[in-house]
Amino acid sequence: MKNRPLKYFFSLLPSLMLVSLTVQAAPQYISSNKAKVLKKPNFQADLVAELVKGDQVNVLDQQGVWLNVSVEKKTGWVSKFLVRETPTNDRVTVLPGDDQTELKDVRRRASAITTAAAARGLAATARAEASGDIVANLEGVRYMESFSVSSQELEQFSQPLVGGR
Amino acid sequence: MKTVWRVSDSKLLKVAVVVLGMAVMSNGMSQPEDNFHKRLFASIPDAPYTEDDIETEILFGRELASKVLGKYQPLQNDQLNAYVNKVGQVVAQMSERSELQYHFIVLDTDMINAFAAPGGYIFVTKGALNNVEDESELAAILAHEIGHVELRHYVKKVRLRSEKGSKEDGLGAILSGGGRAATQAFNEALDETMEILFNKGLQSKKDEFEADRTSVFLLANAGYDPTALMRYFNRIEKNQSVQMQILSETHPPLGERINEMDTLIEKNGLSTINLAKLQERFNEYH
Repeated sequence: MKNRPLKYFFSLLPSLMLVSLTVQAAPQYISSNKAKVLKKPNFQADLVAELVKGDQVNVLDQQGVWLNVSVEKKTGWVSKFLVRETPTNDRVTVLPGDDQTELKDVRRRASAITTAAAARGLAATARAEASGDIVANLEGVRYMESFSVSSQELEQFSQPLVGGR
Repeated sequence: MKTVWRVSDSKLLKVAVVVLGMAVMSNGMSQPEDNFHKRLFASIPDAPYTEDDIETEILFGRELASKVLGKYQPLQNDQLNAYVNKVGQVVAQMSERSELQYHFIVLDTDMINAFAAPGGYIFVTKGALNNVEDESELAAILAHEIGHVELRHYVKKVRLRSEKGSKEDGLGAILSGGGRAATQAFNEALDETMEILFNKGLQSKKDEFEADRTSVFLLANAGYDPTALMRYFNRIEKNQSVQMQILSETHPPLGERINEMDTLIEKNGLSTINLAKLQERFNEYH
């Protein structure tokens, strides 16, 4: 009779430990565009699966910078730097800066002015008013932005990286 | 004879709590983490960045990029720029900030350096490329700059954040107010970042070491030799020319950075792995 609370406690112990295990195995998400799941916690280990951004993994264990994860029915190791507890934002793009954009146009927007919208309008205004001796080279930025690589090209270009050389 | 509990319930309960505590702790506790990782993530307690924050960062970065390219012209070599961009994209695929579109370009100057603007605009100089021996070293330089973007070093330095994400009146809050104050603040932030890039540096050894460490893991994850940045630093450390002046003045001594990376690489067993260097491919384009 006296020991009843204690008995309850010990009978609950396994369940509590199970809850804690479940918490640890909460799903996490691939944050990089690509992530290799490897057989061992070693950059040269065999490939188990290749994941992409947003894929869910269950983290089972950690060794240094490596996470032991399960994904679907497979388990393996993935670099901790490629995994986050929350999904990463989708690709954010902004329309290329427009020389004609004026702050007043931005401010006319029906919705509340967001910082980004303000910055978009300001860019042109600020550029026009800049007192510094460095002239902005927008043409150079467009040249820089013109080098796009398709995923297929990138895949092909990455081929020599597989397995090291 | 029946066994009788002689210890009081309260004492037993205490023991039970300790047992449970240990069980939960040992279960929740991971292997001892690498110091770098602890330091890297312990220092980022920020609220999540909104899409608005990211868009502001890109717009600011794009303006800064136009200034960088006003100071140093892009090298007019489509083939080399396309190659550098591909190498950069291979590394950027492993960036935790996959919401960004990274852009890479070679600057037409003999100065030995590389720069990053917020939002993913990365620059490497012709002078730096002249001191690079293989593709992994080029990837390492770009990865260090991606590290600055990933860790938002410049964004934090000029407090570029929307008012929603910041408790203080950062630049973001001033910008959304509009008007002359906003224009002036935007210009000042651009000038301040140019100063950081070309004169003052981030003035934070921690930021530079973090970017170096990020580079090591970005490289290994991409399949490049993770010792590449160290090899490159070892080579240019001996270079006392005027082309090294800005790099020396804006960054911690290379010797210190080499030592930090060496420790990190050894600790993580990365010194013996054989990942790609790709000297031949680099020589084809450079």
